[in-house]
Amino acid sequence: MTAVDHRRPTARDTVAAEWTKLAGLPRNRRTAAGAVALALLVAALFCLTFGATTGVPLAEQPVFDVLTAGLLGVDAAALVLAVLAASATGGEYATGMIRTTFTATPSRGRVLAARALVAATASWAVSLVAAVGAALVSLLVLWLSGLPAWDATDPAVWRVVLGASLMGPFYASAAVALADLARSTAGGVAGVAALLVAPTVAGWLPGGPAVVPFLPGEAVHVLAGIAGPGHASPWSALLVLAVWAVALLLLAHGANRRRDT
Amino acid sequence: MISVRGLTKRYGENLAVDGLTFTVAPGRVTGFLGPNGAGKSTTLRMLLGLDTPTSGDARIGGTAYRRLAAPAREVGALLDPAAVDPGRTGANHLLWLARAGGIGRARVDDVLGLVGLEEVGGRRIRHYSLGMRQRLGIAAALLGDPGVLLLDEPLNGLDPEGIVWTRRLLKGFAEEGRTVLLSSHLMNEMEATADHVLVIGGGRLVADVGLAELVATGAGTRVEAVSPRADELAALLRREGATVDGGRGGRIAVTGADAARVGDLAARHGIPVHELVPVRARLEDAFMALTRGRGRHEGRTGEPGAADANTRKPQGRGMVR
Ligand SMILES: Nc1ncnc2c1ncn2[C@@H]1O[C@H](COP(=O)(O)OP(=O)(O)O)[C@@H](O)[C@H]1O
Ligand SMILES: [Mg+2]
Repeated sequence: MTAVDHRRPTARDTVAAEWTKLAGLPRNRRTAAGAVALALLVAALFCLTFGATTGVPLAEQPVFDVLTAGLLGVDAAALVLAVLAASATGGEYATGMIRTTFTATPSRGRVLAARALVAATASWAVSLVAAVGAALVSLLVLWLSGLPAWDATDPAVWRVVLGASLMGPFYASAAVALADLARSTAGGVAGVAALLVAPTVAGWLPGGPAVVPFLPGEAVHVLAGIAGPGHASPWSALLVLAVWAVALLLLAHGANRRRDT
Repeated sequence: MISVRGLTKRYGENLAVDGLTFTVAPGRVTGFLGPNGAGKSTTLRMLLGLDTPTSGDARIGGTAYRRLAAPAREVGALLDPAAVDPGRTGANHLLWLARAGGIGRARVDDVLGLVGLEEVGGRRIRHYSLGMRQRLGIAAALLGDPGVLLLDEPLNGLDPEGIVWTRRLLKGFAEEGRTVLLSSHLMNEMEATADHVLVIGGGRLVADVGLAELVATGAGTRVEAVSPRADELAALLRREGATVDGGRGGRIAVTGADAARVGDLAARHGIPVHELVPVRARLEDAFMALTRGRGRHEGRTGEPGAADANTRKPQGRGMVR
């Protein structure tokens, strides 16, 4: 029998616990692999049909645009990861396991922060793989079409690849916050969907377009290099995402801090 | 040591727990007994800091649960064995809990062995039987080697073997000087398990007594005798001060004299006895007597003139309210 030490658990232990929960579930690992596969598939689809959908033959497209078209595959992966993050949190409310979680770690703020950190970090790692993969798919499509490749030494290439990879961690942490707020997977997914359509809806409203740059949907596009010229800098887009993620988490924490389970 | 003072929980209109005050001492198994809806689970959730009391407080070793430095080390809890992710393996469920408590990984195998799940730790929980899930829940409660165990209906749905196993475990725990509180809505579960019982009904404490005392108060122990000369025996017993009921078919029920006295008396008078059975008062009877008029479905303020004023009789030692 191993003696049980008397160590006071720390925030690190909470992060380790949340990681063990997330990564220890086989279905989560399969979903993450599926997200990468989906990214590659969507990237291939967008690159191959890019000429047809834009009405301009691939050969006459700027190669950089072929790259950003391929990176749309990462968006698809990000949505899968957001649903995964929402279900990891919402599922605990559905089964009642949330009570075990709060019994093990009575500080609910610490649990939420650890959960968001783990979801964001894991989603980022998966999204990076998906982004690099999607970029390689666009390269493959160009090569198969006998066209010149984009320049891998161009910092702009790396900027959009990195930028595209940030959508996953943002939506995953937002999904954690929203699923926690709604105490359900469906609520988390609906909340993420609302964030996604917010720029479109805002565009219809009077005065709406003025707020669009402050919505996460727009910021994500800026980071992925598909927002076109005349938009905010990537740094301010990053700031917008960070503020949204923290605000949603604080909102969820405020609602759940003392709420009965 | 668990202490609850003036603990009250209101859910909207519904007063689920109503001014509960009690302590649970270490070194014995304490049963938390009451019909469905009595407020047992709500009380346990408040003890674990999951639900916030409307008023009053619940402490463990003098500290509110949410302020415990290392909760897993102090309190092990089993609320609902079904509240797990069925897609996870039993070992992974215990591992994340160990991580959360800052407990080493080796302890996972220890507790799996302790509850007899070492063979199936690597299997997904969806393949576990109810009994196995219950054991997994107990393993989780034991992870931090805690001094206090709180278990909500741990015997519910277990097969007889599982019940015996759990009882033995809990008794062993109490014998080591730990505090064990387990709830149940079934009296017979408690009879062989608890040393002491807290009885609640309608969110209120009805009794805080030793098990033996509860059984004794509920309905006096009686002896049933069958004799072809039952009337004669009944007369003799009444003369000795015992109370005798029945007589139909030669069967009488005797209170106020034990089996030995009844048997000896019959022998002295040459009365043949075909059956002589001491009948222990059941906890159910005791419980019914205690909680009549207090249950959730039986109007709190008491049905007019109902038996409740008379039957809520235990006023003996150790009784509260
Ligand atoms: N979260 C809740 N919201 C509203 N009512 C509740 C809640 N939890 C319990 N109750 C009510 O409180 C009473 C006590 O329930 P509970 O503590 O589950 O009883 P027990 O565990 O003794 O069966 C019941 O009437 C139940 O319906
Ligand atoms: Mg209950």
